[in-house]
Amino acid sequence: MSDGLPLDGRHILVVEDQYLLARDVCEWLEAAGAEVIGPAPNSGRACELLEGRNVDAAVVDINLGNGPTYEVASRLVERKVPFIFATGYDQAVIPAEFEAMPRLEKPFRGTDLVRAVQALSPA
Amino acid sequence: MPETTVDLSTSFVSGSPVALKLHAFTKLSDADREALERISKRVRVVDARRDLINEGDSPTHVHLMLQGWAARYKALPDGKRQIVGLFVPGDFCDLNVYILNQMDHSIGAITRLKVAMITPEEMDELTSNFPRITQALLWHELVSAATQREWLLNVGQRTAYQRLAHLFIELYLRLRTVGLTQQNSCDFPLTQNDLADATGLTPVHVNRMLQDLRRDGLIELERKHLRIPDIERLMDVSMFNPNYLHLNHEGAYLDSNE
Repeated sequence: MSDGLPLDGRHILVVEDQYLLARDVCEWLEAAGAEVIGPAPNSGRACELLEGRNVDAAVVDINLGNGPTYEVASRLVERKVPFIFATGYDQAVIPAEFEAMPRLEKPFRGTDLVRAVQALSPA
Repeated sequence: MPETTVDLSTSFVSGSPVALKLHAFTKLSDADREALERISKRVRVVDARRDLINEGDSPTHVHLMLQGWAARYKALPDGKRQIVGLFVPGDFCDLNVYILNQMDHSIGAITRLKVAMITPEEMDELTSNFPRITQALLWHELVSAATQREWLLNVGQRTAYQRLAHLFIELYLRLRTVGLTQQNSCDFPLTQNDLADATGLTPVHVNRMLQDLRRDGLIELERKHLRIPDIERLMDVSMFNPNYLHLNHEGAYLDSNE
């Protein structure tokens, strides 16, 4: 039924603490055929969700309430899961090890998000 | 039949949303209005879908909605959340909230927001010198609590169809009070997910109920704009009794005689 959708069947982890935005992100990804994991509002929950699950890609907000955090990003790199940073207005300097990761600047539209996730090469 | 008439007199008064809202309770003087203007000068803009304040934050100001819509929500540790209230222009988010150490809920922007940030000192100054406003603010808090009770009843006892119908009517009337309706229509920026979170329904269920409400000619909802062709009928369907909004000028005894 969902044949031809840009993210058909892909498992995407969403890490975003701003609830209303997280809701939108999930809706956009699902409309594009993805199966959303999350949204996780903090690093702890995100890492829990990663355990023992097949995750194809992730959308990660760096600022989860108490300043920038890269715990989830490190875990994703370890597990070779490609991901996008969703960066906010309160943009922090991204550490060198993650500099090459694609970023999507907020506010973004659903089409931009889907295109960016689609462009992530499967690990 | 419950009483379903609402005093429309507020629609003919001009002023800031908060002055219009308090006017539903009592007639303010020019000095009252000016005092409300003065405390609305420190404005914060919050982009759509961002949080204004989070659970656990330490509240330092009273927030007064000047423009846009916001949602009050609470979360469970497993990530499930519920919208437990909505704010439209003219609403204060928790008067006296600064006496608490930390927020027990979050407030997120549904649309881009303009919010007045009022200091505790400004609130004290206002309530010490403007007794009519003080009474109106007490009324405002009672209406907020009554609205919360109505929402509890809504989620607990009304059917899915009625819950949504009720939410549409309530927001329409609240916006009408602050002069933000045109005839039978108003902006309605909530997404289907937002509606689901505010009514305890799944998005799929909301989608079906919206189709039913449209099919029955009760609402027209297009591009974030709501039109209610027959308000009385929608009230009947949702068993709406506007008494909890207290829009009938109950503070007439305090009216300014300017």
